[in-house]
Amino acid sequence: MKIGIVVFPGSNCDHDSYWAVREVLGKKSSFIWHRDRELSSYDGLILPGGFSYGDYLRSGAIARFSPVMEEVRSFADSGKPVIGICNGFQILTESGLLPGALAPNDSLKFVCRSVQLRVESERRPWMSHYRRGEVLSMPIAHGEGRYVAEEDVIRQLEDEDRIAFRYCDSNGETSPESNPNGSLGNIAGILNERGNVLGMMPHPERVVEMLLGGVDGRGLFLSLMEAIA
Amino acid sequence: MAKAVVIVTVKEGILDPQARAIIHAMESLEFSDCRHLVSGKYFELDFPELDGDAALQKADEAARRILVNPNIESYTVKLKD
Repeated sequence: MKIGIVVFPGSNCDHDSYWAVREVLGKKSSFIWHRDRELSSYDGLILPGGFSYGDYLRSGAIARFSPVMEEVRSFADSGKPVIGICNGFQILTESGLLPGALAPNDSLKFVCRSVQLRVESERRPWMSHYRRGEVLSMPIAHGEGRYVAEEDVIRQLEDEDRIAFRYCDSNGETSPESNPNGSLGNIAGILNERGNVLGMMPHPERVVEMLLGGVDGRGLFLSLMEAIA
Repeated sequence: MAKAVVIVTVKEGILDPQARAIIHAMESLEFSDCRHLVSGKYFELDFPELDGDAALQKADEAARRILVNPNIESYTVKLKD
């Protein structure tokens, strides 16, 4: 089992992801430079957070044209697991692998703090270690994380069990107060149709051991390990 | 030779917090008769080898492929005088 971490110029959570997979979960992991095209030895991919290409134009708008992205698309189309975290989520929406877009936060501020998330799905390969309704704590750190999509897209995501997480309060209630960026429906993470591609603004790789302040992100990685074991 | 201009604005119906902040500031500067403001991005594309029509077409293609995210933005393309 080997997990690939795609590195774009400006990625800065690549080493955190590597740490989570390799040191905390003890699985093989290696970095994939954005110019590489060889993904056949990997069982899963992480598009990490950061500021690829300095967020020029729009977050993720330039990274989507990196050579590796064509291969990431084929990888995802073949049903293998792909996760985009923060900037990785922005790249996945820009490249059309996930619907909608991530617009500037309604506060116009860069928001960097821990938030509560409500688990909305238990689908494999990413969500099977969580229970629907469970409340998790994970950090966010972004200026452009307001999830926006047409009304019918949101409805489709809901009908097809494709919402992974919503921002909520500590009781699991979604409200405008618990929404850190103005995302529609408090949406924090979504899945593609098959469920193998997950995009999320919060950072699970930053909460995988108590030394980091929490373990609520482990479930994603454990779900992945189980799915590809 | 031709120069094309692509103007990208936040799509109608999508919250534009930047425009909201600007209009609040304008109110305090006695521009309160301005009720609505649209903010956006401006791109000038220079096509030295192309005539006007071809430049417009190319600029439109560039808008669709990279300059604009149709989920949240709309755009206009025109030739620069």
